[in-house]
Amino acid sequence: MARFIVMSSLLLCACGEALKPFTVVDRLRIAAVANEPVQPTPGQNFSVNMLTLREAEDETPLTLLATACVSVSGGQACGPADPEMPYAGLPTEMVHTVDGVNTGARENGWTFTWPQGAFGVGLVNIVVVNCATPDQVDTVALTASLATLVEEGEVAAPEGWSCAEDPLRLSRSVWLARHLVPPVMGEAPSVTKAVLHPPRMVRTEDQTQLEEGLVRTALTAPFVGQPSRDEPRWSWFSTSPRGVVMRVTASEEGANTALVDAERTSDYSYWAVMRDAMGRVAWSHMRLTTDQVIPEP
Amino acid sequence: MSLPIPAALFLLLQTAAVVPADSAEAGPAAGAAAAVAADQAADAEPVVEWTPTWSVGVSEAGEHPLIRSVIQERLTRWLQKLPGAQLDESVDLTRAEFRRAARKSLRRYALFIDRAAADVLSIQVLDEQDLAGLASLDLQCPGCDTKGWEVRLNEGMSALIDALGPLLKASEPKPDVPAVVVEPDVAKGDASLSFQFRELGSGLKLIGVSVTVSQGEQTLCETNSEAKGKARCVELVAGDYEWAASFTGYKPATGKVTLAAGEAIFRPVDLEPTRVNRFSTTIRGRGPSREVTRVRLTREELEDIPGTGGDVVRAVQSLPGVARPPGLSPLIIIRGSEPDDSLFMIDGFRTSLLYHLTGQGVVENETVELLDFVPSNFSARFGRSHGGVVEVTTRDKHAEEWTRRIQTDVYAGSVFAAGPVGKKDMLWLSFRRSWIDAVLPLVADVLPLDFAVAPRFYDYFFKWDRKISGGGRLGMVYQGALDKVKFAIDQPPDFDPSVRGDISTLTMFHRIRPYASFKIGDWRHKSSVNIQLESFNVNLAQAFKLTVENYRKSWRHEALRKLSDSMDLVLGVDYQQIYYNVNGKASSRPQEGGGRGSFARTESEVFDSPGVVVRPGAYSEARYKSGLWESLLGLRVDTDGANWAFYPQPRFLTKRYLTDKRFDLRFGLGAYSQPPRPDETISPFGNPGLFWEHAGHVQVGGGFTDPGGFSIESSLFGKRVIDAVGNAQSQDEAQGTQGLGGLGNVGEVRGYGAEFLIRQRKADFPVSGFIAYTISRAERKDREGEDWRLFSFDQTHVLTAVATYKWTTRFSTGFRYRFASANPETPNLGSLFDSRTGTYIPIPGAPFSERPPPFWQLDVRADYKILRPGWRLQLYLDLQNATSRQNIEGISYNTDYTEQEYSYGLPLIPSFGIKGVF
Repeated sequence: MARFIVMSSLLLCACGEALKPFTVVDRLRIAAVANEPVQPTPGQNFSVNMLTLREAEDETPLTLLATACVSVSGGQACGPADPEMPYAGLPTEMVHTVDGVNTGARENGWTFTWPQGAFGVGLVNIVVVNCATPDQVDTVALTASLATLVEEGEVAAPEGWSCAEDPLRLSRSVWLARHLVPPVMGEAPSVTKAVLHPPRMVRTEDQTQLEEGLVRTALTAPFVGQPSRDEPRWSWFSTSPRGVVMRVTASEEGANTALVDAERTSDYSYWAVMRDAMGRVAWSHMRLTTDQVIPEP
Repeated sequence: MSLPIPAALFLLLQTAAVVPADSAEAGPAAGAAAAVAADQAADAEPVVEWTPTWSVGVSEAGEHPLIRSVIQERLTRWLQKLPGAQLDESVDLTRAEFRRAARKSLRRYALFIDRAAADVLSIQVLDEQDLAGLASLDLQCPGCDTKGWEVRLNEGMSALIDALGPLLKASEPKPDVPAVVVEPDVAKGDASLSFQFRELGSGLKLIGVSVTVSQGEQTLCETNSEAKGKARCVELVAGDYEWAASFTGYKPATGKVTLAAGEAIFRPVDLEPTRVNRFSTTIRGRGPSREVTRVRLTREELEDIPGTGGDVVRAVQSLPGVARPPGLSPLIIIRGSEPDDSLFMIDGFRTSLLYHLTGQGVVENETVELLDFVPSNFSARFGRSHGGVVEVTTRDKHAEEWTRRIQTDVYAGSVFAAGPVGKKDMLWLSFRRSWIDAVLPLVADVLPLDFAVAPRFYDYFFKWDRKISGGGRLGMVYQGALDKVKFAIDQPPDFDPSVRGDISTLTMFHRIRPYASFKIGDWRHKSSVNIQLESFNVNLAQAFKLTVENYRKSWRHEALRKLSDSMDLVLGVDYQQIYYNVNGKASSRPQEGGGRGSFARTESEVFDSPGVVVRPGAYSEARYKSGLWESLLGLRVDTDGANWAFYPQPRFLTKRYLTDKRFDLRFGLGAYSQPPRPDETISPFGNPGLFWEHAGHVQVGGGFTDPGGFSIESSLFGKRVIDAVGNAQSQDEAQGTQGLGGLGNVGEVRGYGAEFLIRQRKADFPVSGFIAYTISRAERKDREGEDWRLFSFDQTHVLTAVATYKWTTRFSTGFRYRFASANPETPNLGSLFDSRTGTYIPIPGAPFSERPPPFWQLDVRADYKILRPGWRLQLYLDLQNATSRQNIEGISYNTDYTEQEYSYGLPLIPSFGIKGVF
């Protein structure tokens, strides 16, 4: 029982006063990684897409690398014993802009082939480096640097690199992501991809106790087709001149609220990200233009 | 009258008096004086020569186990220190008879050992010339056999001889000692003056108060208060009188009264205690040693410890070997053991809830008699645990009158009453309810939490005890406690944005415990049954739900027999049967040394696991004493209905007193076995195939114990646990879909260190307190092949200094200073985004390889008592963290673990309380 008491107290104590809360996205934030099909079979190609967000003005260079394997060892990263998944296409990148100006959102994609005869959980390791790199990234040097990083917590930037946070240190300018790809489980019905409608924003009935110039809105991002019954959890991101903000909700429809400037000088973007217990991840986004009228409920 | 005795020592010395020769109401002492006076008058010699020599007597046999011959043997050594001491050989001696004989022999000083009560050995020292009490000691020795009592008697006599030092040095009487002048022709009247002497504030009836009634220079009556504190002077003529009363440990009182012819006046007198009382010493025994280290604290000692808010159970967190728990958490971490590895007992039975969630003990202060703390090498009486033992003993001493108490502070309010029902029965009742739920809304704006149900608790206690023949007892205890709190998280924690909703906990227990102690033949038996219903429920933001319901039936029977003068035997049965039901929803279970984790990291599973646990145990202890050696050999055997495997656990303890028996050396070695905790064996996260953990304790120590109250104890200790439950799979490997599972008996634990405890609780010194220091190291090995790492609550240095100074009888102040190494932390080297949950997983560095700056805190407390006849009011102010120091309680990280900062503990917390006793 004592450990449960400790756990409860940690929940209460884990609130730093100077640290920015998770709702404030002031550095690059990996928002989601999804794959399609959700449960690939051996020999099949599958794509992996990643959504990242950061402040719109942040235009420092980003380098993204991904590797994939069938995880036999059960580790956090692909090891020598884990059958590698070869690339099945060129990486893709889509930077979301409005009138040529970054919104801070970016989607990157990779395609892999699940090797024939390899059974297990697919593991995709993604590295996001916020550094200016030479044209040809030395992946061997990068791998060695990352190994040092996870061993010691600190590592110098490889030669020729200039990193955003500290030009000479890789440590503060690298993000690692792990994405598990579940295989088809025996006779169980295969899991289909989840698709979301673009978010819908309406004014709420309650417009009381607001700062002047703000409108309280309700956001939803309904499923296309049947809604998920598998404990969907929702993350919402908004990008605006006020910065990038994250919110979370646990309702089936992902309903959330947002305070919006009634008079806007630039477009706002809203991203809804859904994860459910089946391992499905989906996202959609909407743009709120300067002249768009927020509809009544 | 001038005497060669420091006046400060003998407040009671009064001029010898002329006592009415046939006063039947003036009590035995006065009667004895009267007899002496009559004899002297008959000889027509007005001058009586007292010699400064000693008479020593032992009372008739009462219920006390010490027989007369043993006492006489023990006294031989001490009689040599009393000038001219002569032991009264009379058997069946009453106190009055003894005093009469002492007076007749004109020996001035008398020492009387009273064996009337079974659990107290009283020693009274009297000045027969001045009809005054000089000292009194009540020796107690809970659970002692005759050997223990012998030791206690020695300690008491040693303390007494020390205290009487100045008197003994002045052994030669001065040649000009004034004589007692007997006035045989005092006029007799028919008026009377009666007194009842009580202690101011408590109403305690005082026996032995010396009172004189005089007219001008002429003393007309001198007597001592007897039963119920009453004294009476009769055959007084009409007129104005002055009276004076004195009693060791109390301020003298005087008064005037006018008596009319035939008038009978009753005068209640409340004597105010002095700040210190050199002679009123209660020596509380250590009892026959069953452990190398046993720290025993009384309610009176515990209640005033600063920083505890006056809570006696919480004070155990200040003792040596106990690590500082984080924040206000009610955890007891003993010598590197997990809190769940230690036993928390109330009257011999385990309780899963010793503290309320706000830190107060579940046993209300006034219901506590003693608190025992055994950090390791505990007796075979205790089992199924390899940590330490904290045992609360509830009150069991019968009183003559009812006492009531009302107490309130910022946390809670309580009522308590205790008193006799008839001659043999005694009742204790208490009820406490927290106020916090009423207070918190007043400061709601400054709190980061939104309470749906503010913290609230209650506890209650009912005890009935009856004295039965043969010194036995029969009784029943009914007690329980409940804690409830629920609050909403407006803002999820940064490390896991998925955590939303309410956090709530509900803990409670209710128990009924009939018991009996009795004697059959040569065996003394103690038997008790405990039926307990307990429940624990935690709901963490929809991500984690756990409900544990236990219906616990326990039976403990212990039989003791004295085999010879040097050996006795204890046989015991300790049976436990638990019907449990564990249900909830979780994705993993917390594990010592594990990371903070995310509730959303893996899939949640719903579980519902009812079951029954049957765990019989039996134990035996043989104690052997020879000369300066005392040894205890114990064997405990536990078994488990899961597989009926037997776990024998031999335990050995030896103690050697040095020539000066205030010094001793101790050694203990023992085996201890502990079943896996319920959450470790229940699916889906536990492993039903787990077996018991096994531990060895070793300890070497020594100490100095002055019976007057000063003691020094030190010990070196070591502990090793094998087959400790741990993750058979490393956390690194388990971060995949399978979660943190695969528990097995694969771990090891070791701990070692040294402890020092210096205590001062002498009654004749205005300062009391203790200094406790522990240096230790506790380590774990999670599984074979891994390196040893620090225990998550390892604290290298823990120092606690507590002192209370009594400025006056009414006013005292105290402080508690605590210094402790911070708990080690595992540094995070970075993080890994887990796409399935949308959270960041920290990449841990070397486990528990960093330690934040140490903790220190100063708590202060001031007490003021308002004393009135029959009642008292106590006000206290307790300032926890009086300097408002920002102590580091841990490290917080932002959501992706790229930034960190220290989290700090609570600032200054004032607590103001009022206690009324009447």
